[in-house]
Amino acid sequence: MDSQTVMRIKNLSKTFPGRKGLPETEVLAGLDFKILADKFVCIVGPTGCGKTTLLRILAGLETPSAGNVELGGEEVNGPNAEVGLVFQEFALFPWRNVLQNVTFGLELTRRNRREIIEEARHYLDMVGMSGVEKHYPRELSGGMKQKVAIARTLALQPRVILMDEPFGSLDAQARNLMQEFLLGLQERTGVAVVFVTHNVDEAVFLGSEVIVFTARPAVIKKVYHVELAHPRCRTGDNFIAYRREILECLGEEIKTAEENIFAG
Amino acid sequence: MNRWFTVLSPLAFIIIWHVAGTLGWLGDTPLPAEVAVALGNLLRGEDPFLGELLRIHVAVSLVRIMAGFALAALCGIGLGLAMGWFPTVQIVMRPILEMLRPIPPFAWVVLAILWFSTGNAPAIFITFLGAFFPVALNTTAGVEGVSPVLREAASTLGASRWDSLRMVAIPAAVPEIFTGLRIGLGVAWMSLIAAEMVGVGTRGLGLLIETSKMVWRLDYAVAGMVVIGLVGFFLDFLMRWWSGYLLRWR
Repeated sequence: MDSQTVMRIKNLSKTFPGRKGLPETEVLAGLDFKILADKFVCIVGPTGCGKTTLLRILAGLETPSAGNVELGGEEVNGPNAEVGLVFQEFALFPWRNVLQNVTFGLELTRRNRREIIEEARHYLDMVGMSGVEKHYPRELSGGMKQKVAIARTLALQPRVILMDEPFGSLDAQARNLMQEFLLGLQERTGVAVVFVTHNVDEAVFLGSEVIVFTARPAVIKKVYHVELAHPRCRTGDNFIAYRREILECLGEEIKTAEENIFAG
Repeated sequence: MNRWFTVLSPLAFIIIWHVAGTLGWLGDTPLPAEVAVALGNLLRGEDPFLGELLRIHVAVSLVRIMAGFALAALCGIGLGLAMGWFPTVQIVMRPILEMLRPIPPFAWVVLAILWFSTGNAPAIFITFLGAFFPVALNTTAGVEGVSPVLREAASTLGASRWDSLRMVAIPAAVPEIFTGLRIGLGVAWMSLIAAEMVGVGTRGLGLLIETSKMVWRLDYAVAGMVVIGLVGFFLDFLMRWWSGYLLRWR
């Protein structure tokens, strides 16, 4: 493994057993790719193709049926603080205020209290949320909640952050702002990001790499290296060219996925 | 506007009671004024039957409920957490709990006296039984209801299973635990009064109304009921205030 590689996904497959006599479901069928340091990897694929399952396996929440995931040369075999996960649903602890949400992971490191709070404040500041540290999650908008969730994950200095459609429930305006915010943050911290989305526009705007998955069982259909300088202009010709190409590539798979639904 | 109603509606209730009583619709039921006099006598001096100050009766009942309730909260929350977190504990304990739960605490009086003979212990035991089941079962439901997303979020932040219990399951179950505590406190209070009425322990509000009844001083009996109601209301108020404070994040 070279020094550039943060995470190595080797021949990863996942099959869920069928319940009560139903046939088993093969979700992932031999995925092979690397996540390099500093990279922003976007994964797009038709709905239900196993993107979320992949992230859950990378985070150690689910075990693969075959193959494995290596983090810095060691196999991942359970959730740990080196791989951060930002959920699709807002997964803040509602009984903890903003600051306490960010300190959650730090409290488990058994360091002294003042240090923990200082550290948490640093990351809240980084995501621009230091003004609301005493607020409870219910008082925050969706975008603010995700910022706090990102700060909570960043505070543990993970090697890679996995994001499962984190802006999926935001309105279009908030979503665009959050994308710009996230890009800036990734550039500053240099953390590798794996970002799952079904929105091609979002993938092209964010990704240094866009991986297109096939319909279930998912394999990698194509990898696009988006060589556009930041900030990317959503209406620029190159941007639209990438978008068109990826949409076409994805379109075929969406059709297959629909046929699967009608067939099954 | 609504505030006025909280004062006016009890007032209207008393007026209706008075009018109905004066018209002879309520038989021997004492009128509000007679109850007020009895209550005044109780507050000023000793009750005429047991020779005890009202505040002693109240204090005795309060000590019993506090002891029984604290014990029930401790055991109920403990068992509830274990049942919610470890499926094996639930499988073993659930049938036993579900069989014991429908037995009214009051029905245990015989055994309570047999096991704890005299003093406050039998009454405390009955009170304990009243609160224990709602607390245990609500706590179990609370732990079971913890969102899987939050548990997974905790584990990706480095939490062990033990950390998850301590830092996710318990705080997330607090609303349900408090529901159990509130129900439990109410049941415990009613159970205690019933137990005192059949003479489990000397003194106490239950015994006060029971003795008043035996000498047919209904004004004192109803005055005792009023005190029981007020103390119960106050206990519930404390509980609500405390849970409102702890659950301010909601």
